[in-house]
Amino acid sequence: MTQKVRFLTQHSFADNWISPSPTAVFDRFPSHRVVLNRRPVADWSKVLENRFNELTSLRPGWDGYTGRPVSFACARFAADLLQRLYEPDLPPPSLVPGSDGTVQIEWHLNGFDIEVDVLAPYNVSASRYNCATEQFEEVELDSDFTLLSDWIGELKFQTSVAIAVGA
Amino acid sequence: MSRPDYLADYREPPLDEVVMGVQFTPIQGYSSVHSYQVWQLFAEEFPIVEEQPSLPPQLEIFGGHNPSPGLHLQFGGPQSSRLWFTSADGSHLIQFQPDRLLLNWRRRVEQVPYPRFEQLLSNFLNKLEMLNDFVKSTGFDGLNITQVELNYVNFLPVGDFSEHPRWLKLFGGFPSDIESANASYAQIMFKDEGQPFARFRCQVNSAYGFDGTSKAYQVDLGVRGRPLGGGFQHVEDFLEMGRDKIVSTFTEISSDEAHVAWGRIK
Repeated sequence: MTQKVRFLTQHSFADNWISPSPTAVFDRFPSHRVVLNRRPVADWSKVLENRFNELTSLRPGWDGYTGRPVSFACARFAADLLQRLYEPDLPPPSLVPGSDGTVQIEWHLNGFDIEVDVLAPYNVSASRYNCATEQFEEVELDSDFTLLSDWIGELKFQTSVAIAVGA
Repeated sequence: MSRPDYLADYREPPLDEVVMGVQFTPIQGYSSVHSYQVWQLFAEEFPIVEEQPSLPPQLEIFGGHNPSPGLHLQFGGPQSSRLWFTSADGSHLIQFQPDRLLLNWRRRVEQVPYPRFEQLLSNFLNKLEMLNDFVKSTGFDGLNITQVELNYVNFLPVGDFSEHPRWLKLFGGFPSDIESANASYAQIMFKDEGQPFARFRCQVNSAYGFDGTSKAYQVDLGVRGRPLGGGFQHVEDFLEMGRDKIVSTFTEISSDEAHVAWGRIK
């Protein structure tokens, strides 16, 4: 039998840490022991892969004018970005084609609108609108998506709070 | 270009392969009918042609979560091929596809020594200029470089995998009779202003020779990321920075005994 050797890699750190249970977020609401339905990776994979295939295969003129299929370069960059933004507690985003071969990633959830326009690899425009406060933020991003990840994280928190209070 | 004085140097490094290259926005209007013209740019030095499956874009991005072992999205891509243009002795290889150009040196002929980084870099930049001139001659904009990468592949022969402490400082003690051993790590590299722009990766894997019994450790070291500006000077700067990082790290993770065996000069 092959002896598996463990090393100080990110994977062994992951093995050494005990992952918090799905209910850990809700310890502050001891009277509402809610188990959040974590969407498995397969949900996101199936939905998004099908959609990316669809968008990169659009017929020229798909919009009734001069619409082009989403370029593979844009689609691949958007997919790589989503792999880093993946949150199992959120539904997969909508993917919307631009007529110029670009793609937009959108979440409309719990009073927030987050839209991420992938114009080209390393050329991304992201916006967030808070429906309750009417606050609008917009940023241009190229390779560092920490801010966008924070927005998604806050969206996840809003989702979990909504469930915990029975919204 | 010359080797920095502060950088370690070895008479006989255990280097087996060097790959340097760039990714760029897909060449507008390129189709398979242009592949012969591209080959003709390099045919005198690289007369042998092979066709391989194309590689997907590999662009470093930062922030969010490490994607492994989470979501991995796979979907269909462009139908172009990756072309291999190989030198007659097999030691040098150009890899071309409509969004990528790579130059490989491979230790295929023992009598042909490692040509050294500076010579490879000069050769690669020359090929990149030739490709860029060709693209512009067809009426399109020049290459828009989005990514630069440099990889060094080393093989460290061992009698048994438990010998690793003689060569590498990465592992702790092993019992004998290990069948395999592997380790890897990644580091984000930052600009002076603090923004991430590249990743360094180190991967160590136990390996068997084609005879099924000889053993070695394969040590892969690579840097990939965005050049800090447009123009081929920034490509050159990135590759020199990558070489510095790779050689410095390899010296740091390898033992004093290894340095003696490889003929460390400085």
